[in-house]
Amino acid sequence: MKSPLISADLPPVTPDARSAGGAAPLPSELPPLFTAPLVTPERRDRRRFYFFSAVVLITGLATAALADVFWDNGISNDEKALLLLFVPLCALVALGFVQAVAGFMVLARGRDRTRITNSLNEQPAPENLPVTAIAVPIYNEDVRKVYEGLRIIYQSLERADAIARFDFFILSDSNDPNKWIEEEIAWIDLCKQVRGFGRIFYRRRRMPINRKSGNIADFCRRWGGRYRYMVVLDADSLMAGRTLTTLVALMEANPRVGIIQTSPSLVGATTPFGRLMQFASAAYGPVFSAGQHYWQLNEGNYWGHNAIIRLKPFIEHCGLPDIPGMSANAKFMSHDYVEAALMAKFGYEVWLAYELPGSFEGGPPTLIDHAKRDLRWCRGNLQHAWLLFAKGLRPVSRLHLALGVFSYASSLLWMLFLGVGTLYWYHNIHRPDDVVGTGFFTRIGMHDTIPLYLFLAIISLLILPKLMAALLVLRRPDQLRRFGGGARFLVSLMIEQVTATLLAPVQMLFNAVFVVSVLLGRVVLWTPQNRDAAGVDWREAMLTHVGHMLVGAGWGLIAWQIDPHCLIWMSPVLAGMVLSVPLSILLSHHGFGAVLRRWNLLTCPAETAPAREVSEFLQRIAHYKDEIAQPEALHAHRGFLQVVLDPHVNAVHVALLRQRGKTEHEVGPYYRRLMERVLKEGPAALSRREQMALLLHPRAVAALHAQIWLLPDRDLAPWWRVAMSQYNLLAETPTTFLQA
Amino acid sequence: MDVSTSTLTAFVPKWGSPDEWNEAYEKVENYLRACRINSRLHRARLIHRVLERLAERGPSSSNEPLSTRAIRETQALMDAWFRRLFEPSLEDGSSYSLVDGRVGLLLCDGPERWPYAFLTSGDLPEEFVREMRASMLVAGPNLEISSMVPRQIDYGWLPEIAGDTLEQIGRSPVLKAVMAWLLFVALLALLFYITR
Repeated sequence: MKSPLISADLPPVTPDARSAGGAAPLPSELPPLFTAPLVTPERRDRRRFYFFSAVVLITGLATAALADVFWDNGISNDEKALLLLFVPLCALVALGFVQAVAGFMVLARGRDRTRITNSLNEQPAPENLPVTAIAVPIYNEDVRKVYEGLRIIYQSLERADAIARFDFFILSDSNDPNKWIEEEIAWIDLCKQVRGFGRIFYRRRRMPINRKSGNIADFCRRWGGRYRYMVVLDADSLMAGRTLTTLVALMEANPRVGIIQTSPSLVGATTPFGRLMQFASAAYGPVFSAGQHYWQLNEGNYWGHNAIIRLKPFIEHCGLPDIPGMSANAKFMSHDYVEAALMAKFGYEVWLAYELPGSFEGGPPTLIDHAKRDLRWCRGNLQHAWLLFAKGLRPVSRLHLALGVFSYASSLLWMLFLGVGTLYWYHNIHRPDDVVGTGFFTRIGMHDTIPLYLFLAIISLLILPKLMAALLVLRRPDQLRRFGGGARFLVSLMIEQVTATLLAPVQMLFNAVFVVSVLLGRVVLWTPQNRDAAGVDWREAMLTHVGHMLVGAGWGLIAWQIDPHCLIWMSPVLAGMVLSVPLSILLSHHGFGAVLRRWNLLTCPAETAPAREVSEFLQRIAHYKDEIAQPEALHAHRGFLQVVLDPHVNAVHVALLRQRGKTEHEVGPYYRRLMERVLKEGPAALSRREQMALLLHPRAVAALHAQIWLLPDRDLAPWWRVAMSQYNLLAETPTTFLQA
Repeated sequence: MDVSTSTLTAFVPKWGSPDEWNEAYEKVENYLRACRINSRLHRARLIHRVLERLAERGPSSSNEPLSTRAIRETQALMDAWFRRLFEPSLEDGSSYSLVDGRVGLLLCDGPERWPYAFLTSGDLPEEFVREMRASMLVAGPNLEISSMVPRQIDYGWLPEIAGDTLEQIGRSPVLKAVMAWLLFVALLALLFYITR
C-alpha cells in the first residue's frame, strides 16, 4: 500500500503558503510510531535481529578461534591484550561486511519495499508544494564554486518549473574580509544574472557562535517560522531540481518524517586521490548505503547536508545542548548525529533515501585535506561519547553515536593491536615449539594453520564487500560501460585496493594522533599550504608525513631485529607509512589525475555520464581558469581592495550593514587610526581582525572609500596607487565576479 | 582619448600646472573606471566636463590639491544627477542617499546597459529611470522570529561526574600537569609490565 502524494492528515497547502511552519502537525497529533505501511515494527525488529546476529556470529567465531590458539599453553598478557583489542576491531569489520551483504542482497534483488520513495505515487506537482528554504552555510569557502553550485541548482529548479517553491539562503560565517566582500559581490552578480532578487538571500553573522550548527540555528530563529521545510546544503553540494521537489513531496506525504537524508555522489575530482574516492564512492557506495538502510530503516542518521528537514520539530527539539565539562555554551561540533538523535527522541523518523539520484558533493582533493577533514570529524564524533548514556535517546540513536565514536577510536585500537602484536612476536620467538597444547585446533592438528586462516578470513571480510559491489557493476553492461568498460574497471578496482591498503595505515596514524590530541585537549598544527596547479609540494608533504615515515621505518627496523618474518608480515602496513610522502604527493598531482582520466582509469558514471547539473557545474568552473589574473600583491587583498575602491561594491556593503538596523556610531579614534594606517601603508598593515573591525563599521567603510579618492596620490601607500590605476583595467568584463 | 579635436582644443586651463591637471585627469579617469564607465568615449566626455567646471571655478584658496577638487566635483555631479533621478519618486519623509544611487546603478546594470546615460544632463531613457527607481537591495525576507533554545539533556550520572571532573581539571593548570605526568608514568609502567 502506498501513501497518497499529499497526506490527508495535513491541512491543504496553498501556493502562497509561505508561513507554513505553523501548519506542521505536532507529534501528539501524529499517528503512533511505526504504523506506516513502509515499515512495521516486526519487519524492523526481524531485520535488526538477523543483521546483528550475523555480526555477533562472525565476531564470536573469529574471537573463539583466536582465543583457542592463545589459550593453548595458558594465556599470556600479550595474548589477553590482543584478544581484548581484537573483539571490537573484528566487530567493526564484521559490521561493515554484514552491511555490504545486506546491501548486496537488496540491490541484487532489485526491489526494496521499505524505501521512503515508495510513498510517492507520482512525480510531485511543484505548484502543490509549500515554499521550502534552501540553506547554505558557508565559512571562508571558494566563493565561485559555492555560487556556481547555487546557480546550477537554481537553473535546475527553473527547468523543473519549481523555482517559485524555493528560497535560497546563503548563510555566511566567513571571517576572512576578502571572502566576505567576494560573497557580497557574487551574491549581487548571481541575483542579477538569474534574476534571483527576492529569492536568493545573503546573510552574514557578526558573531559566528557555534559554527555551522549555530549558523543554521540562527537561520531557524530568524526565518524558520516562514517555512515548513529546509534543505541543508554544504558549500560543495549540488542537487537536481527534481530531487529537491521529490524530497519536499516525500515530506508532505510522510508527516511523521523529520529528516530525509540523501546519499550524495562524489563529483568533480581531478587529483588521483579525489578520483580514488570518487571511484570508490560510485562503485561501493550504493551497496553500503543500501546495507545501512537495511537495518536503520526509519531510524536513520543525518549527515549534515544534502538533506531535507521538517523545521517545526527541528526548531522545537533540536537546539543543541551544552557539552558537560567544556567551556560555557560549548556545543557539539558534529551536530548532525545529535540532531537526528533528538528528532528520533521526539517521535520523528529519519530516513536515508539512498536510491534518490541527483544529489552530489565534492570530496577532499588530497590525502592531507582528507586528514584535515578527519580531524574536524574526529573531534566532533568523540564528543558524542557524552551522549551515549543520555536519558531518553532511542537505542538506535545511541548505536549511531557509538559507531561514530568508534570509527575514530578504532584507529588507536588498531595501532595498539599492531604494537602488541609485534611485542607478542618478540616474546614468542624464544618460545620452544615442542610444547603440547590443549586447545581444540591443536587437538585436530590445525594449531599452526588456524592463525593463517583467521588472517585470511579477516582479509576476506574487508575485501568481499568490494567484490560484491563490483559484481553488481559487472552484471550490468550499461553500468560497466560508465565505469570505462570491463578491463578498465577491473584495473581500477586493483588500483583502488592497492592504494587503499597503502593509505589505511597512514590514515590510522593520522586518526590515532587526532584521538589522543582531542582527548588531551591539544591542538593539531598543520603545515601552511603552498599549493600550485601541480598539487601538494614536497615541503608540505615532508612536514606532514615525516612522523609517519619515521614510525614506519622505526617499526620496520624493530620488526627486522625481532625476526625477518615479522617484517614480512608487517610490510603491507609499514610500506604505506614509509612511502607516505611520495604517495601523498603523487596522489595530489593534478597532472597524474589527468593521465588517469585520459586512460579512463578510476573513472565512474559521474565522469562518463554525468548528470546535467554536474557537467554544467564543471564547465562553468573550468571557465575561470582562463581569467586574466590580477597581480599577486593585489589579489591577496582583492575583496578589501574592491570594497574600498569600487563605489558600487562599497555602496552595497554599506547598504547591507545598514539593513542590519544597528545604530550607526560615529567613526571613533580607534577606527580613524586604522583608516590612517590602511591608507598610508596598504591593507597588509592591518591584521585580519582589524580589517574586519573596519568592514563592520558602515560609516568607517563609507569614509574610507571617500578618503581614498580624495587624498592626493602622494598621501597614499604605493599599493593603493597601483590598485587605483589597475582596477577594472585588465579584465574584459572588469567588475563581474561571477561570469554570466 | 576618444574625444574630438575641437573639444580638446576648446578647453585649455588658465591656471594650475600641467602636472596638476594631469593628476586630476588621471584621478577622475580612475574613479569613473571604478564606477564601471567602460565606454572610453563617454568617460573622456565626463572627465572633460568635470575638469572644465573645475577650471571655471578657479584656483582654491585652501591649497586643496587639484585631484581632490576634481573628485569632489565628480561626486557633486553624481549627487545632483542621482537627486534628479530619485527625488521625483520619493515618498514624503523618505530621503535619498548617494549609497542608494550607487546601489541602484549596480543592480540595474546601468553603466553596461545604458553606457551614455551616466551623469548626462539630457533626457534619460525611460526604462533606465524606471529600473533605477525600482531597484532595491533585499538581503533577506521579513523576519519571522522563532525560539530555538538549547534542548537540555540528562546525560546520566557517569558523564555528569566526568564532566565535573574535567571542568575541575581544566580550571587548575597544576592538577592538569599532575594528571598528565601520572598518565605518562602509568604508560611507562604498563610498557614495563608487558615487556617482562
